[in-house]
Amino acid sequence: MKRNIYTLILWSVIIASVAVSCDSDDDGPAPVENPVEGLVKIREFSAAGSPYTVTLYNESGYLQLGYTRVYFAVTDRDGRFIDNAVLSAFPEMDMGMHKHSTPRAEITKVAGKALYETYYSFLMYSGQGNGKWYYDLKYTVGNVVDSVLDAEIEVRNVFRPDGTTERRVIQPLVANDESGQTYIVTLVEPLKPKIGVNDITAYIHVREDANTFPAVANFRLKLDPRMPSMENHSSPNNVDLTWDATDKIYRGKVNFTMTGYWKLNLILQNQQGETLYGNAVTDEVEASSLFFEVEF
Amino acid sequence: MRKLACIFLWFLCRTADISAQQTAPDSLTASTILNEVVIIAKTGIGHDRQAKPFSSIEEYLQSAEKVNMIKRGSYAWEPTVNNMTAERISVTVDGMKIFHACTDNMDPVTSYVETVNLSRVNIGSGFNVSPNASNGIGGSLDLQLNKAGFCCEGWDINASLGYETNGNCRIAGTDFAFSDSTFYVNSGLFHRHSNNYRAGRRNEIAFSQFTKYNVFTNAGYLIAKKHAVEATVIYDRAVDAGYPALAMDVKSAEGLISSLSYRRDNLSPLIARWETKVYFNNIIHIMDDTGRPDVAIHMDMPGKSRTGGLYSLLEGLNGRHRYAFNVDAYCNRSYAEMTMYPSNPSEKEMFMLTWPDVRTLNAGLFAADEYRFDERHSVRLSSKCSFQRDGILSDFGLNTLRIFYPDMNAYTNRLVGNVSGHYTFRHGGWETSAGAGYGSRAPSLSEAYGFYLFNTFDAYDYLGNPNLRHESSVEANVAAAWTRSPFIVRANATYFYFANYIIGKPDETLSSMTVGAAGVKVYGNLPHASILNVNLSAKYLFPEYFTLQGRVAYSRGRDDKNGNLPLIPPLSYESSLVFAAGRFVAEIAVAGASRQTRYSPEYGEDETANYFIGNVSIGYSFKIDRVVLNLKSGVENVFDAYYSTYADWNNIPRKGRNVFLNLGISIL
Repeated sequence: MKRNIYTLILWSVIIASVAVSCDSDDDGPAPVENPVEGLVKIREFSAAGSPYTVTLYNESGYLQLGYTRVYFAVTDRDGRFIDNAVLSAFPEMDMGMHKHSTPRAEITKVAGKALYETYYSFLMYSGQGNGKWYYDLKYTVGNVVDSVLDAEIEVRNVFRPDGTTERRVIQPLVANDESGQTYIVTLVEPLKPKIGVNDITAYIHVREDANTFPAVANFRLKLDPRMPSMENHSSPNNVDLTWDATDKIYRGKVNFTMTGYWKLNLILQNQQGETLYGNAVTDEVEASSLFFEVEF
Repeated sequence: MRKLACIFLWFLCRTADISAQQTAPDSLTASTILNEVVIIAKTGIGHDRQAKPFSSIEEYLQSAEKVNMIKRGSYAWEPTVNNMTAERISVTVDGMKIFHACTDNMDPVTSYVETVNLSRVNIGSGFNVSPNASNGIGGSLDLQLNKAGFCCEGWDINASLGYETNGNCRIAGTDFAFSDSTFYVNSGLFHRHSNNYRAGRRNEIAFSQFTKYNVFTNAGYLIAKKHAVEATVIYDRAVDAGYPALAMDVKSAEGLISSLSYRRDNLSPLIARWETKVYFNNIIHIMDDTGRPDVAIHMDMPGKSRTGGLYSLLEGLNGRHRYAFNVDAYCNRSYAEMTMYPSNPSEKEMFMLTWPDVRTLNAGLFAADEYRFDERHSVRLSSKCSFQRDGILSDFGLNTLRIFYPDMNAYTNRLVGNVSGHYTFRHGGWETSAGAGYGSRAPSLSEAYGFYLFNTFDAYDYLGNPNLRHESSVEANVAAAWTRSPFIVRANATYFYFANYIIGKPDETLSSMTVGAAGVKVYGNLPHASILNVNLSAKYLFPEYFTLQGRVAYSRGRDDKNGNLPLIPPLSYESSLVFAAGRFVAEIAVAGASRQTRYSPEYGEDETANYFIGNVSIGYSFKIDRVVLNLKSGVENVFDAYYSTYADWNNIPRKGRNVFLNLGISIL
């Protein structure tokens, strides 16, 4: 009954607001959409003397270990958003003795918005092994080509809710086959884990050299979520992560029967179904050598 | 101080009386000597024949033939009728639906009342049940409240005091009643406190303590002749109740029971009584394991159950017909959650809903008619049909269950009902009856929606199944009683044949959650199962002073593969010799059971040894001016036997030798 009343009120409000907004549509030009609405600024990049500024945004306002989605907005001196820019970037970690980059994608335009996006799978956080992250950014608007080099960026470590224990969200591994390839597995979703059925997504990249990490297609990640504090119990009906060619990501389902600390045990298999890394969880073996952590 | 003592004495207790006896109390209930009623209170003091008047309600119920008690400690025993528990029987308080709030059945509905609240318990068997019973397939218990009524002029003041050596148990209560022809009120409070009890041979059972408080008021007012308005409020609270057979205790179990009713007497020549009642009750149950040593994971498990409802019952007589019609509706909301605290304090607590805020709406129609062909033959037909809509209000809970049942709907509509017929033949010293019925029930809350409920009996986590089919049963019963002074002999048998019998079955694909659990069982339907109960009893009345009686009961429960159903008693017996002379009464009683060989290992049972116990009691009542004193004392388990029965959870041993003293004081 109460629910019905709420529904009724809700509908009244919706109808009223639609009516009002229809009216206002007739009054003047449609307002320009702010492409960075709801995003938090990380930092600005601007080449000396460039008419354009590139600002880095994302949902949280910082970069972090493992998967980080980022957005770029390009603005001119009047603050107008530019929607025909072309951007490329190269993050590099300087560890003194050697340097390396990290798995990443091309920067692409967000459809229908004056905004550009990519993601990074940061292998390390700033300060890890005394390393520092630097960022090279190149942007082209029309015939203006500008670049910012060696801008330091901060990549934060990822912690469990207690704020001090590291949470595993990315794992580089050396395959147990004769290839001896290094793969990097990155957990993407669940970004906001909840009780029930959750989408789980992950990236797999292969290391070709210190700066080249192409995405790997058609592998499989066998999934076994466990709760070590509760008899290492599992949940049923989880779906292994398989390649989604459209979104170029590995996609599966993970089920959480309660809140708390979950260990997502994984087994990495190649196109032939051969196990490259990880092991099954048994009564004796509590976890796989490949796992991620989720706590909520 | 003296004044205080006087006030204390001035309040006094009503006498209580029990006999699992067969009575035909009023013309409207179709009681025959074959129907079972447990009498708890009776006005006037001379009738007191109960060995221990201030027994708990559970101890009273235990004496009934159809009722057995499952024990998890010394508090809140769980009643069974025809060896079926809460999900198959209907327990009502004065027709009101109440549902327990503990996912582990630690708080059967009977634990939220006290003997002082009640006058009697009507026990229904099979489908011959109280008009307000819903989803009952095995029988019903209707706990009738003890209302002063409009009858007796003046005041009635009682006090009860009791002490038991075993557990250092103290009992104190007072109540009073005032009534005249247009108004009555009776009210009282009751307190019990027990420390850990000792099993036989002085073995102390840790975590068997409890404390219980109960306050109640009943009031009635005749707004006009034959128009009565009545109200009841009961508040019952148990604190620090231990459950030695379980891994957890209870911090508090709280029940508020309230009702308001309007009664019309002799409405027309065809309608002798018409009662309409609205009611509300609220149960809050808080489990607690903080007192237990070596707990792998501390858990908080609070549960809530709220029920509101109404019924309108019409009873009447016309010629050879005696009929009753009832319409009832109720809405229950049950919610239970579990928070587990990991041993690593930096880890987040684990939280889940064990009863995902389940709402049950139920509306039913009941009709019964007894037709008397002549003095010898009569037939009674009854039927009940109920519509039920139950489902999950919490999205959190629904999402959790959808992990297991991706296609489940939040709500389910159900139609359940029963029909039954009963034929009775009376002639000479004989009374015989035969009856049959068919009916169905909806799955219980835990059976449909329970989430990882750990059962310490078989050490499995239980998972509800929203796709269960309704369980149905065909019941047949025969009974005979033969009276020929000084002998009374009675026999009865009840047979239930179930289809889609609901019981938990292991699911190997699921991973258990509770530390130490053997696995996960999911509720499912067995194609068929059966339960048979047979009772024989005899009484011999000596010409003077002595009465000798005895009783033997046998039951058998079988599943579809001829395996044994759990919690079915072995052959049991009891016998007593009562001596009564004037104000003096004495009783020697023995009880026992044979070895339980037909147990169910699948459900955590093992063989239970035979046992034999003896009880003795004496009582004396006397009157000083207007004060009646009723003194009872006795020894239970005289031989201090160390024993447990088939119904003792995890074989928790029962009380050893116990000496009790009860003093009832009444001011007439």
